Amino acid sequence: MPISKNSVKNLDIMLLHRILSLICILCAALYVHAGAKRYIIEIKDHKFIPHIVTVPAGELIELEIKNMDSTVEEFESHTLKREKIVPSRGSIIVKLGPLKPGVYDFFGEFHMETAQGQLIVR
Amino acid sequence: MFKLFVIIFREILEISALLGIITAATEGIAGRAKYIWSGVIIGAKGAIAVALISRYIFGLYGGYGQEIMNAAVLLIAVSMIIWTLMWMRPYTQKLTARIKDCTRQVKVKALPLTSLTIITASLVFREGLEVALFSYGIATTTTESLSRLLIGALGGFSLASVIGFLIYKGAIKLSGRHLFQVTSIMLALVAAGMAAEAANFLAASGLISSYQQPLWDSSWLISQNSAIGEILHVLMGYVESPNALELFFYVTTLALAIILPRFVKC
Repeated sequence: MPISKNSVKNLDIMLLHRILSLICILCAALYVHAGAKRYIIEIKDHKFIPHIVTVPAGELIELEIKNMDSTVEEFESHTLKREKIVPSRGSIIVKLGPLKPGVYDFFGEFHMETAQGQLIVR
Repeated sequence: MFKLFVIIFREILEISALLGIITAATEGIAGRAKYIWSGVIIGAKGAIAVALISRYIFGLYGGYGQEIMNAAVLLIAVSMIIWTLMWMRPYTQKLTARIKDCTRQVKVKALPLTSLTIITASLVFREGLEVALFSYGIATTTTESLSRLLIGALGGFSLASVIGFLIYKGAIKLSGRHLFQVTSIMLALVAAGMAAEAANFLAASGLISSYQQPLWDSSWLISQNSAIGEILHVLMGYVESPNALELFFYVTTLALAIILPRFVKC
């Protein structure tokens, strides 16, 4: 049976509707962390300041990493399972949690000799 | 100079080790080098281009553009590896026979070979982007001379390439006539590891927020910070304390990579 112009239009509209719904769901998913507490860590001279941050266990958390240096850094942690590039003179937000109590190491991959830090969760 | 050497060595090693495996896995397929090289060039160009517009891209998706991009590139590579394992399956006999008589090349259609280009481009792009961003930062702020920087960079690049080449030759030499089976398992493990990494990026972006509790901790056995731990991480996605989401992506991908090719008619 040949496809009529109308049924093609209907298929297009259905497809568009599905795509828009998917985009809405994806956007909504990104706001899950809306109520999380934010902790600020600066990168100065390839060091994290503060380099030890204490946060509560079992809660959603955000780390805002502000890079005050003119070199790019990569915030990374094996135990937190995060890897994110912080642009020079820029900042990023890392969503975490809920975390079990413990000590989680993080580092700046591009300046590992000095960029070391710990997230203490209790 | 040494810092540049170490970092470039580490990043390029991730690429060269996997390229070594892919090159060994496709040994005997006519013309596959061209496709792999194209992937390297495309990946490198892409990495430089994205590095230049990184500030814009990273800000997308509520500031999680990086995570989305990394997850997408990894999952593209994973699906391409699985497809490669599938289309190579019918050529198993011919490829194994060729090991005894290396003058003959096995001819494969052009379309499946593009999977090699895409896999290579994905790998080179991901690591290359880090190298590009890091190198630009070093170049603009360092007080060292350009020649010392170049020596450091080229040194790291060369050493990593040599190791990748040794992995390629070593895999062929050690596997003997089981080359196809060995490389198929290795590729399946690589794909599984990449899928688990993609899972973490999806969780980091907030798209997935469940199944994040770690299930066990094997850092007492092998630490991810140790040399052997890093090698196992690159080759098979070893992590100290996987969570359920990573495990699910890992096992599913491994299963698909091993089972799907068996459905391909030989």
